[in-house]
Amino acid sequence: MKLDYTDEQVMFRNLAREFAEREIIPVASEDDQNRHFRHEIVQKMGALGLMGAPVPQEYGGLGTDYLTYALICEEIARASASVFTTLTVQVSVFQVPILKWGSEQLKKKYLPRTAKAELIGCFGLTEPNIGSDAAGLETTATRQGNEWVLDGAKMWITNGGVAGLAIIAAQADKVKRHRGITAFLVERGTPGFSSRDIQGKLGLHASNTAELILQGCKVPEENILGQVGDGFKIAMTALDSGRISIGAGCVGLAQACVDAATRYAQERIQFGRPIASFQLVQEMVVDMIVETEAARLLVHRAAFLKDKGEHFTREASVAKYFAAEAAQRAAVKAVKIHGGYGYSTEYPVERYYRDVMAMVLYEGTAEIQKLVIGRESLGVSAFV
Amino acid sequence: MILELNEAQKILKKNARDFLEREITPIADEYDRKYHPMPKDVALQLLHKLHPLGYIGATLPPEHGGQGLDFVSFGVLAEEGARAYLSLGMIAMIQDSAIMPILSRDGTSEQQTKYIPKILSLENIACFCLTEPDVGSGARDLKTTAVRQGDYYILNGTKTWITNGSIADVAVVFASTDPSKGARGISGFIVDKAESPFTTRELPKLGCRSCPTSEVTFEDCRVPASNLIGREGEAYLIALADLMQIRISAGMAAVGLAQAAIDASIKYARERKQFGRPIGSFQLIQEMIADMVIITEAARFICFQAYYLLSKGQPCFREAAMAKGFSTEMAVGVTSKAIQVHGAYGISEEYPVERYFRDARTLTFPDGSTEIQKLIIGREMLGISAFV
Repeated sequence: MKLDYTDEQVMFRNLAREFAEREIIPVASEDDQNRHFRHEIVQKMGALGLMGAPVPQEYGGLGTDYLTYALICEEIARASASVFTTLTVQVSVFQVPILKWGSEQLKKKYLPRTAKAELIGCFGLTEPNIGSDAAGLETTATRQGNEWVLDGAKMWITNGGVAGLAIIAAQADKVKRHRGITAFLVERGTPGFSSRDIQGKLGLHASNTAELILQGCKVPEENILGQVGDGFKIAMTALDSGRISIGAGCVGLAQACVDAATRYAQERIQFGRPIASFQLVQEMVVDMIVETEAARLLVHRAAFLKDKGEHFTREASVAKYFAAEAAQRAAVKAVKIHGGYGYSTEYPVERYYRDVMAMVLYEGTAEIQKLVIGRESLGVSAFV
Repeated sequence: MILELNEAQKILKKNARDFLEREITPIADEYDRKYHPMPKDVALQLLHKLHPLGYIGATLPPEHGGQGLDFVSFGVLAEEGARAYLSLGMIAMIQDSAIMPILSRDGTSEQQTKYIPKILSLENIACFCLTEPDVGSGARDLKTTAVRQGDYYILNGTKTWITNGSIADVAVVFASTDPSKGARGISGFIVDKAESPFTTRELPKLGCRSCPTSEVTFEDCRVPASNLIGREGEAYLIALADLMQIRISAGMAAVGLAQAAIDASIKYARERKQFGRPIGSFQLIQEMIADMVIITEAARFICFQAYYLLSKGQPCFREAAMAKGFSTEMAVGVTSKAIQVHGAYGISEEYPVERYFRDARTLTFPDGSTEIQKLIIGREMLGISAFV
């Protein structure tokens, strides 16, 4: 066991931290209130390599390990869960599947531009009627000569409205259920492909969430990731990787809550003393700190196993579940410590409180994580 | 970052687990019911079995006859010992977490030569006497006194909740040599029962029932001045340093208990059938087990983090407090869920989980209550003390 970061990991964490403090934190609350997706931030992150850190250098990335990427996610999420969400989708569920399953030609064609964030990506899995039960996708893919025709709708797609390229999971053979699901790369501009931004979210106001509409959308055969029928596997492995980075984002959000609560508790005077000197306030801060540190270790353990090439499904779920719950509890406590100010937009904690709910839901709800962990621990599935 | 045990640690874990499952787990429930507490001859018989695994002298430097293991390895032993039989693990661990560090770090060479080999060979069992009937968390207010008379100190006072008290041959005792100085008046002594007799009384309790927990009384107890540890008035810091290590091992023991509760619950949930299916296939049962697994793994890393810093010689007062506070509370919740998974069988003596539950409940207050751990962490992080 060795719990120190390598010099490279520290260097990239610091790079991300300095960037976040300089470029994101000053505008995070403003963008949240204006529901503004700030393209310049994403572009600047792309220029630094932060939008494709674990992508190998030959494909235009930084070629870091996944743990380094987790550290970057944490720092960006500490500044803004919205920007983090753009990042985690770009890397974990967009670049990673292309890297693992894409043909050499697709990788060469698309990855370098995505690593520099000249091209934003998204993953279209969820549908209006299909959430956790991904095997039942209703979007269809029908072969027509050398092309496939996609029809259907995708819902809650992060980056959907700003993406130039989408991975779309569609059913190519309904009889085969999950073995018929196939993943396609679809460029924006393809006739029959359109998106509609989803308004009225509780949190993540500065991120983009959209519905994707596919109407007779024709995609060439070479844009299939892996083989016909690999789509479910691709989605599940993308989600495993995504869970690690969502976990890392939750740690960042929880850390932001700790930082804000610590500062406020030290400064706020009541009964002639800083409120940090009251045991009930200290207890809240301490609970936040301990859970945040435990979550960080669990996230890094999952990333460590992924970097080693070992199976990490269970550990990714443990990390995502614990980190999301810890972040949720931290956000509640941060608001409580701030009292009425915690309820106002004058302080950032109300934003953390709203944003954290998305982290609990996306990339597999808390309940799905428990069923994964239960299945892996008991050898018995309780999904249905 | 390497977030797994190294090869040597993995082998240590496997050997300890295999041996304990073969030799100790089968007798743990029977002994736990029979012995309140375990008599000395039984304790010694079991300690001799644990001895080859490295349970006594694990982290003691080789120049003192120990194995010089790193603290993460010690954490592995602490976890596995507690997973098999916490009462026995406590009897063993107090030597390595509390006594050996003091002797090897603060003892004179004469004290080291006299006592370390005896404890290593199990000729002597040791105990750590800090807590008193009126002095728990506020350790600076000790009432036990030590008054110098010629070549001796005369100790008077009562210590309570002393693990191993009634079976101990040697006690490390904290007493005030100058009550006017508070914490700076506290001194430490090695009290050898053969030459400086003291009396003990057992304290029956809810959990860890076969581990002796005693009241220890010193009545005009004459201790040679050569048995003073360090110098007069230095022992408060010695006790704090020791508590740091004891806290981490208490946290690790809680992880072991929780793991035992998980293993028992998984076995039961796979075997027990209701509505024609193993209960492990029901979502609400899986949720309990998933919750147990998640929080236990979190606690294990928190404990390893503290042990890792200890191995590196870095300060870890905050991390030790996290290990103790988080893990012991976690174990109460996890062992309670294990009972729920087992239904009525969970509270029967037919299954071990009622023992795990009772044992876990005894871990949240010794060596600093959960609340004290939180105040330590809070003070370190906020820079503001809320102790008083």
